[in-house]
Amino acid sequence: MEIKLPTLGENILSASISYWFVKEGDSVKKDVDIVEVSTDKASFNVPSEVEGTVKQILAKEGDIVEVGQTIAIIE
Amino acid sequence: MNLKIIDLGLIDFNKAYDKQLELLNDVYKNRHSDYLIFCEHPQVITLGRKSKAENLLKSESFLKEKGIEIIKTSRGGDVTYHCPGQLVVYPVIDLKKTFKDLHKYFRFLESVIINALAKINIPAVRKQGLTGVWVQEKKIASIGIGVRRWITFHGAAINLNNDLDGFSFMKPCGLDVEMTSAKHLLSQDVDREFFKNIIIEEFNNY
Repeated sequence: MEIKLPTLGENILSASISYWFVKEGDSVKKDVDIVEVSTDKASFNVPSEVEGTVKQILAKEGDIVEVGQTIAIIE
Repeated sequence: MNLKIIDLGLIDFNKAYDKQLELLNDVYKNRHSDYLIFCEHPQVITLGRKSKAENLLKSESFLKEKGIEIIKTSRGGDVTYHCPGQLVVYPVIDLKKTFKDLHKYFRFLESVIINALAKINIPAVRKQGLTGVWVQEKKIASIGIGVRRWITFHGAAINLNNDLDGFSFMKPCGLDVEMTSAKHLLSQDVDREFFKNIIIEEFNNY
């Protein structure tokens, strides 16, 4: 399953990756936070939508990603 | 909003943080009410996720000598300063019940503070692109939040009766800005309880 940067607000187009809580190969449960992103003055945790293993991390800390962009793949 | 008010008084930054995490968990599990925390912190400089080293203008040893701790936090934003006399507000609220929009939440916090300051005759405004609350060119309140499961923590710091000297040790929020306080603008202390109740009223008006 592709984990995408979710919608954070009407006029918010992107966010930067602050901190990954997992790395490739880790197993994760559903609803556990996998990454923290930040925008302007907010930090926001993104959870995994499924239980599985982190197959790929597609953005590194410091990268700016767009809303809707795939940031990780969990299978 | 169904808000429970918690006043932690003068409390260590880290202890207040732990309390917020406890309440975050409560809001997540129980979902009936949200919380509005009020407190003050002993002198501390906090760094948000967007902090740049060059925005802290004094060394750690200089600050340590002054009794000022530096704490890295999980909120968004840059560097700021807390000290007694400043009213810190940490709303732990479930945005899924109101609006799932971070920018709307910032505008909401700004409105609460602007309306509250108007009630004590301070004409505060927001500035496009510069989250926070301003009186002309000076900043009177800073905002920096964290969000987990769409539940908020961290929040806002309003310069009520505090000294502003500590802000000279940094570029507050990464800006070349002068800070101001309600006491400075009105040339008298503002009653903390009175102002806190106005803030509560503004939250409940939503």
